[in-house]
Amino acid sequence: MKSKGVSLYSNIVALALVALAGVGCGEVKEIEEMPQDEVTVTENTNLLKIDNRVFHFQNPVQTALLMKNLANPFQTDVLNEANNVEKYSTAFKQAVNIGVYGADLGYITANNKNQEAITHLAAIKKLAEDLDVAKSFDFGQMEKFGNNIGDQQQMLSITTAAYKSCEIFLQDENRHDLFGLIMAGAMVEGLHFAVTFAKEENNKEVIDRMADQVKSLDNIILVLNPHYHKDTAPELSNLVDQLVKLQEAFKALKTTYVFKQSEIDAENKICTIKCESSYSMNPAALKNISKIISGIRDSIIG
Amino acid sequence: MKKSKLIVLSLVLCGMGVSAYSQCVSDVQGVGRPFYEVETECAKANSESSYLSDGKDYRALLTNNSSEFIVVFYANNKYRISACTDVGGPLSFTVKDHKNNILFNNKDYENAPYWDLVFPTTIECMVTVTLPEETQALAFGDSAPAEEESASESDATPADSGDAEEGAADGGTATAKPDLKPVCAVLVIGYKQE
Repeated sequence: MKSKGVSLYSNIVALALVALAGVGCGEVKEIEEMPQDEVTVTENTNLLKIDNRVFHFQNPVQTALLMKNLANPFQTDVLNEANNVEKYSTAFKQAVNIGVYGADLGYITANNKNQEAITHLAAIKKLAEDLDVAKSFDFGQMEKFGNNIGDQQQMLSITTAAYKSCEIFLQDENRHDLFGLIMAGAMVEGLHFAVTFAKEENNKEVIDRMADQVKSLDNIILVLNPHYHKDTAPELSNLVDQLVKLQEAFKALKTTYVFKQSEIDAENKICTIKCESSYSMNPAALKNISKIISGIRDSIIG
Repeated sequence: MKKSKLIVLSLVLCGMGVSAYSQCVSDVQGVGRPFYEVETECAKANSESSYLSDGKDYRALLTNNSSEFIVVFYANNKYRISACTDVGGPLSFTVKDHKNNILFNNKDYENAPYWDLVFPTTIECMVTVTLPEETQALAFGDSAPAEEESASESDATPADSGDAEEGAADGGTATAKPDLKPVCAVLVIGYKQE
């Protein structure tokens, strides 16, 4: 096999000139509601696949990074306190709070808060050990975290890798319930960041970031639903009930999507997507959703 | 190894649990290598330290079929899509929105091994990968599937996707020749905030 590694990398570095080519923007092709139904595909990926249906979930780090600009300036009190970890004795609480702390860790790391990062990492490690999934978390990688304090990119990379290895392990073990709970925790924490920073008016960015999570919400409910048993899994079932209520509330979200031709900068190998999505929601609906999110989070971290 | 490369490589390596068996072509004749090595090489060749992995694997075994991946691209991020095969030839990839509109196609740019996509808004996309003729020729020689059998992006639909996990590219848009050893195809997707 021919290795093109070095020459390709050199090409990337060498590309310095800026020129626009192949610009063809401006044509509005359609305006319509964006569908939210699942797509069935077959592929080889670590995207969760159940009964040949693929579910895409955000890595908790990505969730946190999306919220970073919104949840600004950094506030410690939006986080779940690391010492709450001692309260989490059930598998449900442990799993869902691995997700919560994961989103927190992404937010902390993205804001270069080293001390908080270490305490939250320790909380995740404890929960993973209690839940007996510590091996899956690749703490060998996570232990490098301390050596990389101050290197934000490396820390985010290690956290992403840790959650990825956990995701693969839980899928291989058919522990879709635990995986769904971890993802639910991360999503709820991300939404919590968004609503915490909502203002009296002009909440466009809050609504946009909440809209990003709607697909994850739908998928989490689908993944957790088969494990819904009021008698044998009351905590999980209660969470599903709350998430369904949130899903209902999100129907107040109005979505439009407009396709436009992408803009290509061939010399620098950049494609700028010109399609437009817009989301809107009346203040009462936003208030209602905020209340539901706060209620879910309180029940998760309490 | 440079530190800048380690970020991408450590993420690729953590995916080694998925399809880690040695089914891809290596430099040593008769000795295979796992998917993650192809991904590692792909990231090393095409990525930069400023891109953070999206934490997903995008792998396919291809002959004359196509494979599709759902990818959610989030607002205000720049994504780098790197596309590679184990045989060293290029990989074609097409990014379409949920209404099947083409957002980007590297075939228009000589199957460039990587491209950056800037998303001002969150869009769920379908990314389709296929082997261009030159890679088919490199991999299969005279046994390369006839041109008319090759999957075209216009007829690639979710239902037509190949299923690499089952070890054969038997679900593609055209019937794969059973005696061809499929090519390992990978996408490595990284992102950074704009």
